[in-house]
Amino acid sequence: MSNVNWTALVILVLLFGTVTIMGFMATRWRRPTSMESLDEWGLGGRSFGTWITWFLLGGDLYTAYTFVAVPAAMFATGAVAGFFAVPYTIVLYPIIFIFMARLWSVSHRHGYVTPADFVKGRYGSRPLSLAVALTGFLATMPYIALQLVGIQAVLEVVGLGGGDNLLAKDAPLFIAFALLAAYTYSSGLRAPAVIAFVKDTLIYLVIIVAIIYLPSKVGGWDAIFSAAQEKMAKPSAADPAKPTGAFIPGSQQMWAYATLGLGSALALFMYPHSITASLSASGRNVIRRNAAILPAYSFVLGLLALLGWVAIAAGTKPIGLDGKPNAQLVIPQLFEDMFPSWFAGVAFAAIAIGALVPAAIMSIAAANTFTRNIYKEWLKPGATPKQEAKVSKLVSLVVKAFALVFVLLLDKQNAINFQLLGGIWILQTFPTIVFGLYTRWFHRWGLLAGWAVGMVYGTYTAYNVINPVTKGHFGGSLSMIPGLAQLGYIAMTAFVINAVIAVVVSLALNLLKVPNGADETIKGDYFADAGDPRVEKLDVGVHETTASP
Amino acid sequence: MDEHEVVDHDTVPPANKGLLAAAGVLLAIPIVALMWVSSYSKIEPKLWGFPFFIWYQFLWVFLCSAMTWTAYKLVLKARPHRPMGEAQRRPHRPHGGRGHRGAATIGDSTDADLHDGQPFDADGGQR
Repeated sequence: MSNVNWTALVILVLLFGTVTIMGFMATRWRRPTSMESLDEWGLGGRSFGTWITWFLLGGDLYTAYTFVAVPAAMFATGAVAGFFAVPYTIVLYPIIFIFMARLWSVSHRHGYVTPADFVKGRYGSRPLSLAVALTGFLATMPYIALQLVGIQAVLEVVGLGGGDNLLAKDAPLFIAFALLAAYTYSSGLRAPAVIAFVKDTLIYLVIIVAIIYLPSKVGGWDAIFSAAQEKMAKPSAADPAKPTGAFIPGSQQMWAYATLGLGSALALFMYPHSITASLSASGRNVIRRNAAILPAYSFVLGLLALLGWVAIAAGTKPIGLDGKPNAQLVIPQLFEDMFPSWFAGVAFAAIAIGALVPAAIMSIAAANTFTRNIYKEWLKPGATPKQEAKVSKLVSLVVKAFALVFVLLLDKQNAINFQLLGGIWILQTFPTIVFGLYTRWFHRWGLLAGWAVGMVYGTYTAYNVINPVTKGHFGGSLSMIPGLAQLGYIAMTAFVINAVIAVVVSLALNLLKVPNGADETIKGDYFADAGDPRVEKLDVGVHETTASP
Repeated sequence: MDEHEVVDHDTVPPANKGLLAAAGVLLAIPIVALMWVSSYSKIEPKLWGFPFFIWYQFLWVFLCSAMTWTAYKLVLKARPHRPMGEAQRRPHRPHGGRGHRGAATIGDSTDADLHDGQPFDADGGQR
């Protein structure tokens, strides 16, 4: 504990404490009559408007991924590994513009809280709904793990933890985890909503200072790009036959760059937490308006990504407390080297809280999915709203614990891969959810078959990617695209296979006139807006009326 | 439209297809532009020291935002909201049909949550 940066640590603890207290007090904010129903706890009563939704989406989407994982990837291996996040977060908005309003409308009309609810209502298929629910639950875990890596990176740079003892090494991680768990448990989505304001203010402050101050301190953008170009061209430490990374995508990397961007964009709004946030909006068009104003975050994300290259020019040495280099520490280390201690503390707080908020949102959403679509659907059909809320709260703890296991077991050197791994899984629910918003042509068994093949192919292919340094499995998310001799994001390849199988099987089953389940929605539902009457489907029993084979 | 006319809500509300298509094109342009990586994977021309690859993608943040906003305005105009009010109700469903599938289950007009008169409320905090 000799090299602890005390000033930074005190500031960090103070800000962290303030936020935690705000989280507890959030329960009183816009106080609902009861916190004990899932609709209140999980969706904040569905009464958030443009600005809070905007902040919530920001809290949701721009996370430790943005300010730890992406810059770290830029620092370590350059543009293809990291900068694809910029086209990803740009094309994201036209994509959600197209389908998210429909999902909002139909969900609002039928009381759907999760994508699996919609799938069940649309296709009348419990197995397909279960597949979607399980995928959402599973894919959220590595994404939460990424947030915990972000918090851990800050605590490690500030000097906490370390040592050989496993418990001492990760003690700060467990503390942060416990705090997160406690206030999420007590306040539901209202906690992240309040904290998102503090978080975004801190993050914007830190980014503005970092982007204006740091480049001039290391010799300007010219020097930064030269240093990055030089580093990326050097022979790689793991394989001297190859360059370290890519300054810009080479001719063999175009597909990788494009598919990483598009695959991530298509995947993001399939996550239960993204859908939860979107359903929190107060109107159908709030989401579309957001799609036009949210790119402000993409610009910020691009600047943050470039901080990875600023660190190259600054000669930042991200060495972990175990004495080994760890690229994930690069941004906290850069801040500690370049800023006065007190401001480094503010920046660390921004990163830590910025990881905390999305982790809370994600775990709540995963918990809602579990409760509604697994617990209530398969384990205890007669559960009361009070029991549902209780199970949700408990499961939100469980899912965080699983994420903690991910952090402790998997390679943290390439944290961005956690998110890409989650993307491989969650993207396989896209055909079922999004195609289903437009048409009933697809057959439920065709979609399920496509999903199953996509999941198996994606998982198997990702498992076989070997990390060049550690030789471990799940070493990356790129592999050869069959028939193209180009590397591509596994999620996209699996998605295409998934969609093709869904089409072929649906065609066959439709020709054979195999029953395709009952659809409880009507066309007008997809255009409904606030002010239209809706069904309260949270009543016990309603879900069981649809026959399932 | 006569407000007492019964609307079949199991139809797609009418829309100006031309405007919808225009919005679709506006939304497709940024996706196509950014997926076409070879069109911008180069270093020159630089702008304020930024390689073309970097500043070109930053530029698309703003272009995409403008296009999405325009598409938003077009879509609002193309398909005005068709309210799902009392006309929705079909005769002979005295119990509201809750729990049954289909349109007739909808129409719980006593649901105060949806009758706050602020369909586009910006802050939503008035309830």
